[in-house]
This record gives sequence, C-alpha cells and structure tokens, in this order.
Amino acid sequence: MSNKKQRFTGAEIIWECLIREGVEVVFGYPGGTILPTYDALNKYRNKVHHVLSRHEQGATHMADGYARVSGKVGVAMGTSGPGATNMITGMATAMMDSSPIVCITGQVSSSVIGSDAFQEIDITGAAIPVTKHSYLVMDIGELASTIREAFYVAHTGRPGPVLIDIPKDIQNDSIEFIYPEDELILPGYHPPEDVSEDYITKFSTMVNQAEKPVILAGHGVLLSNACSEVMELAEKSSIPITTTLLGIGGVPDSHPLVLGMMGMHGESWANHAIQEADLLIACGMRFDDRVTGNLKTYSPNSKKIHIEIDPSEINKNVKVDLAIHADLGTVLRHVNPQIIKLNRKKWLDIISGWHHDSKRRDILNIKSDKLLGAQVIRKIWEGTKGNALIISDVGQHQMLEAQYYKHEEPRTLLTSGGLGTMGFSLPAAIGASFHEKDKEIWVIVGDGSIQMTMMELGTAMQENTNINIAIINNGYLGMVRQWQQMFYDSRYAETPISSPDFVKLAEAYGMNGYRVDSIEDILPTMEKVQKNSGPSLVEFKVEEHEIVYPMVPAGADLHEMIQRPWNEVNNNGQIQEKEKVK
Amino acid sequence: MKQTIIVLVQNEPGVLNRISRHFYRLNYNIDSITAGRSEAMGITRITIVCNHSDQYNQSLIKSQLEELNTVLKVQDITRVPSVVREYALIKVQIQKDEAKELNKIIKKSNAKIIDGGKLVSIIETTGEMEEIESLINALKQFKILEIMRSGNMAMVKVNQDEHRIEIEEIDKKKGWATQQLSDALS
Ligand SMILES: Cc1ncc(C[n+]2csc(CCOP(=O)(O)OP(=O)(O)O)c2C)c(N)n1
Ligand SMILES: [Mg+2]
Repeated sequence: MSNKKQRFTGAEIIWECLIREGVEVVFGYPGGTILPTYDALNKYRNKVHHVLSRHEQGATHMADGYARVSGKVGVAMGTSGPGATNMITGMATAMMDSSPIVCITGQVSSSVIGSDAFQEIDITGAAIPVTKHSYLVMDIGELASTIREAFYVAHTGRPGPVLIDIPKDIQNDSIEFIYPEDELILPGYHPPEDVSEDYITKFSTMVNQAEKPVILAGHGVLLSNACSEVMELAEKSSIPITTTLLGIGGVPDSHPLVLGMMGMHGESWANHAIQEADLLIACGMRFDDRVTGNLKTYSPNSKKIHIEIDPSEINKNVKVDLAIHADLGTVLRHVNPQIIKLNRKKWLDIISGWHHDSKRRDILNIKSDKLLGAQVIRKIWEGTKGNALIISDVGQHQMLEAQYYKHEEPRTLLTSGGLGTMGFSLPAAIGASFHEKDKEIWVIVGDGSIQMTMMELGTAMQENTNINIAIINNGYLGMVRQWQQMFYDSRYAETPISSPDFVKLAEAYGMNGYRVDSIEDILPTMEKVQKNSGPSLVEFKVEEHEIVYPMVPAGADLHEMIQRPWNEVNNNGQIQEKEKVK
Repeated sequence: MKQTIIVLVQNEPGVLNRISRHFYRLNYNIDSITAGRSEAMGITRITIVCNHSDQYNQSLIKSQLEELNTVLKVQDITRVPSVVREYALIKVQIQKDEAKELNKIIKKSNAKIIDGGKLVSIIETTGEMEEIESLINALKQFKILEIMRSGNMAMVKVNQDEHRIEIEEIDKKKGWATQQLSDALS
C-alpha cells in the first residue's frame, strides 16, 4: 500500500493493517458477517496465510500458541453470533495467561445492531471479563486506528487478548485512507516506564542482606525476555530459583540453582525452601492459590519483593515489603550490578538436605506392572534429548510433564495454566508450528482433553502440520479421579471415560498412528515418529490409578505435602530416615 | 466505612459497564453512582459510593479500575477530607389544611418548592445525606409520591490540594475514541 491516498474497502483495510502489524498467519473460520473480509483475503494470499480451524475455540488457541512461542501477536478471526461466542474460552485462556492475541469478529450491520438480528450477539459486552480490551468499530474512518491500537494494547504492558468487532457494512464500506503513522497516545493506558533509583537500592540491599533468599520465577520472566537477567542475579548471589508452571523454561532446569516447580504439585524441596526463606524475590508471578497453598502460613518469616508489570496484582494475594511496578528485565539490569557476590553455602546445603525424596521421585524406580504416565514423559524427554517444544494439556499428564520433562530453553513449554482449559494443547500446537517450523513438537495430552478439541486433527491434516501427539490414555479424567480417590472416598462419579480407537482415528485422518503399552517400546516408536513428516499420533496405554505426587491439598500449608508411600518404591532402605523435615 | 471513589473516564459507550463489573465480581452493591461532564472536554467525572468496608477489597477495586483503558484516574477519597453532597427531588401531596405545615418544614431546611399546584408539589434540596434523610422523614407526615436522589457527589476539600487531580483535555487528534466523543458533544 502506498502512502498516496487510495480507496479501500473496510475488508481490505483489515488485511492491510494486519500486514502492517507483521502478521503472517491468521487462524479463523468464515461465516455470514465476516464474508467480505474473507472475500478480500483472496487479494492478500501472497502475504498472509490463513489456517482454517475446525471450531473457533481452536482458532483462538492456535493464535494463543503462536503468540506464546513467538512473542508476537497471534490473530484469530470468526463470524458473529456462534462464531464469536465460540471464541470466548480462547480469549479467557489467553487472558489468564497474559498471551497477546487479537480476535477479529464480524458483526451484523450497524443499522440492525441491537435488534436481535440473525447471528447477532453483543460480543464486546460478553467479552469484557475475558479480554484486556474490546472494540466495536462503528465508523470505517476509525477502523485502521482501532486495529493499530488493538495490537499495541495486546502486546504492551501485561499482554492479553483484545477483541475487535466489525459490522458487515463497515467491511463493505470504502474510504480514502492512509495508514496512521503518528504516535499512538492512549490517555487511559499506562504501561510502566523506568524504575526509580530508590527502589533499585532497596532491592539490592534486601538481597545483599538476606541469608536465605529464594527467587520465584513466573511467566513474566519469559514475557519480559528477562531469562538471562534472572540467571545473572541468581548466579551472582547464589540464590536458588523455583518456577511456577508457566515459568518453566525461563531458567534451565539442569542448573544447580534451579529447584524446579513450586506449588501444589511442585518439588518438595522447592516448597520447603519457600517456607523457610527469609527473602522471596517474586519475578513476574502472581501468587496464584495453586502456588501459595494456605496464605496464612505462606512463607511466614520472609521479606518479600515483588516485581510485576500489572499493578493490580501487587499486594493482591500476598502482602509484600517492596513492590516494584515495572518491566522485570529493566529492573534486573539496574539491580544486578549492585548485587554482591555470595556463595550461600549454608543455605544451599540446607536445601539439598530436603532433596531426600529424590529416590521416590525417580519414576524409573517405582514398582508397577503397568506403564506409568510419568515414565512416558521421562522417555519422551530422553527421546527428544530435552530439545522439543512441548504443548501440554490439562490434568495429571500436565503435572507429570512439568515434573519429568526438563526444559532448558524459554518458550519450550506451552500450557494453559491460569484457566486450565482442557483441549488447549492440540490447537495451540498447530498454531505454534507456524512459528517453530524446524523444531520437534510434541503434544502431551490426556484421553479426556484430546476429546475436547479432537476435531482439530482435521486442521493438522489439512495443513500437514509437523506435530506429534502423545495421548496419555489412562481411561479416566485422571486428575479429577485423583481428587475423588483422595478426598471423596474413591467414588468415581463420571470420571471413567472411553475413547475411540486412536490409531484408527489417526488413520482416518491420514496420519501415522501407533500404540505403546510398555516402557521398552517407547523409544523405538519415537524413532519411527521422528522419521515421519506431517502429523503423527501415539497412544500410550498407562496405569489407570496413578496419583500425581507430591501434592499439597487445596488450601493446606505449602510444606504439608502428601508424598508417594515408600512401599511403592524400590530400594527404599535408609533414605526413609531423612524424611522428617520441618 | 463506606468507600468513596472518584473516577475520571473517557466518555464513551460501555464505560460504566466496564467499571461496574468489578464491584459485581466481588458481590458488592454500589450505593450510588453519579456521573457528569468534567472541566475537560470528553472526560466524565464519576463519584461512586460503595457500602463495603474491607480495606483489602477497597484497594483491589481501585487498582482494577485503574487498569481499564478507558479510565484515566482513580482516586479513593474514603479517608481524604472532602465535601460530599447529594441532590434530591421529592414530590409530596398534602391535604388542604396542611400547606402551612409544609411551608414551615421547607423554611427550616435547605429546600424549596420548584414546581407545584395547590396540593402536589416538587421539593428540591441539596445537602449531606443525613440532611436529606431528615427532610424526607419530616415530609413523611404528608403523602410522599416520588423521591429521586442523585447519589453522592464528592470533591476533595480546598485545603487538601495535594489530593487534587489535574486532567488534561484529550487532544482531538490523539485517540480515536476521543474523536468520537468530542463529535458527540459538539
Ligand atoms: C474445559 C474443562 N472442563 C473441565 C475441567 C476439569 N478438569 C481438570 S483436569 C480434568 C481431567 C483431565 O483428563 P485427561 O485429559 O484424561 O487427563 P489426565 O488427568 O487423565 O491425565 C478435568 C475434567 C477443565 N480443567 N477444563
Ligand atoms: Mg485421562
């Protein structure tokens, strides 16, 4: 598009603007009110690739997966009414996990808005709780600036989903237009700028004076691209790091200072370290109830520093001593030079002492006649040399993935953390594959979760997406079954779930399908899969009654973890003695 | 203690919807909400009074409102000395022999009759909430037909200048939303 004034339809303006924003791929599904925009797409095929999902929820998760892995804004498109309501779950998922996506929906013509016209839904109203912001464009003159503003809002500050609802007549209308290049000024929107010297000094003093500090690394570490800054702080001052579920990958799991995941299914030494610490340095995390346990007894003796881009998260769940509302990377670049070198041998030794349960956490050491979900994850880790991009779904398999797949690089695990949206993984992986074109991609998904968005196998087939799908089939909605076993006397109400023949299903979609039920067959099957191009599916038949250990029951104290009973472990012997911590 | 907040917003469709949902989410009832144009073009000043005393949630609501794109500023004046006033219209019906009594009550309070036939009149008053309540109580001896109250409007006291917020006019050229607004206003 030249900068000379030219006439464009609203539909063309949409594509012109998306291209200006650097969009290369759009995930969507057509329908009546978005027809003009799809028609105009034909002119832009050489610049934008459109991926046809099988459900608009899928399209939003694809945009989300693409955004999480690339750091760019993902775009989803759909029609009004049912198309738009189908996108709500995807927007909510992106909202809870701060993922920048822009959703574009068609709307009935502006003249009939409000009359319950065919496929009319007040989607901007319905989407208020699940978006960072939403726009209804009622004037073609505002279309370009709105799209530009939407992208800006989506990826700045704390990222999140933004919805643009565009009536059909606005798409059809035309206007003389130049792309707005002037500075964007949004009076009510203030992403934070620099940090004051004062905070930096307080921060570094607290770290330098602490004896038992712990870094809590959240999703913000990745979103702020502050991975190396966090490691620098940790290494300089020998501070152990524990991550949230979404913080996984932000720091290399094999690093001696990295304790692994915290919280409900976190590593027990990580949780103990938090409880015993005298300083918590919370980096881009929000003290979700899944990581704090009982707030009253949470890390009782520590001072707390919270660096967070979203001011409404500060002092929300946990009261902190030093709150810094700013970009994490910026803060740490100021703080790190002021940190004194320390080796903290005493503190690190204490923490190592809590690693006593590693034997019973060694999944290859568990007594079991059947293949265990955790063993599958361990083997997938081995078979991919820890280098794959993993997209996990929601349930036991998600927690096992977090525990047993060691991630060394940022943005190598995508999962729905905040909303826990079953069905996220397959579409998110399809979306991610458009950015990670050369990486080995594995979807790790339960038999329940895959059946929520299984129709997207069609999308994977149509796009010949290079993803591998590992279905951990335990015949149950396993995580719910675990709660029923532990807290409802094993009354399994509606958790047994049957599945289609997944191998046949794969074949029906023209993919290679495999079934594995022994630990020995895992690596050889993976080798076959790795030779395939296009999508493959492997069903792992695993033990039905596996429990994810350790577990902090909801609302319990963080250090009160339920551990795997010793009688389920081989060679338990002398390690038992060290069990008494706290 | 009731929470009183002043919110400055861009005057655009849906803004009240975006604000009120945060109260609803915590299951709080808004006591009163009063909105009107401010000294700056395109900006509405709103006073919200909410009957909940949990300080944690008071600050949560403030920070959540601040986060909205359409909100320019939020000021919690619950603990800042302020002038708080309400405006009310009260329609009463009297018997023939009660006119004198009605006039006496009106004279005693800060009120006046702004519309009236012989037996039905509309009384206008402003004041603090308690004053309005006591006028209404006094009028109860007649037949009250209708009451319309504005809800509280608040303004930080003159000697509290450090709490005064200054707002800039939104430049017509700058935000698309503003453009729409100023057009609507002119
Ligand atoms: C959309 C949705 N519905 C329900 C739930 C509640 N839920 C959480 S985990 C889970 C079971 C998941 O089952 P499966 O995918 O088989 O995984 P498993 O736990 O067996 O590994 C359910 C039903 C949810 N998180 N999301
Ligand atoms: Mg299952």
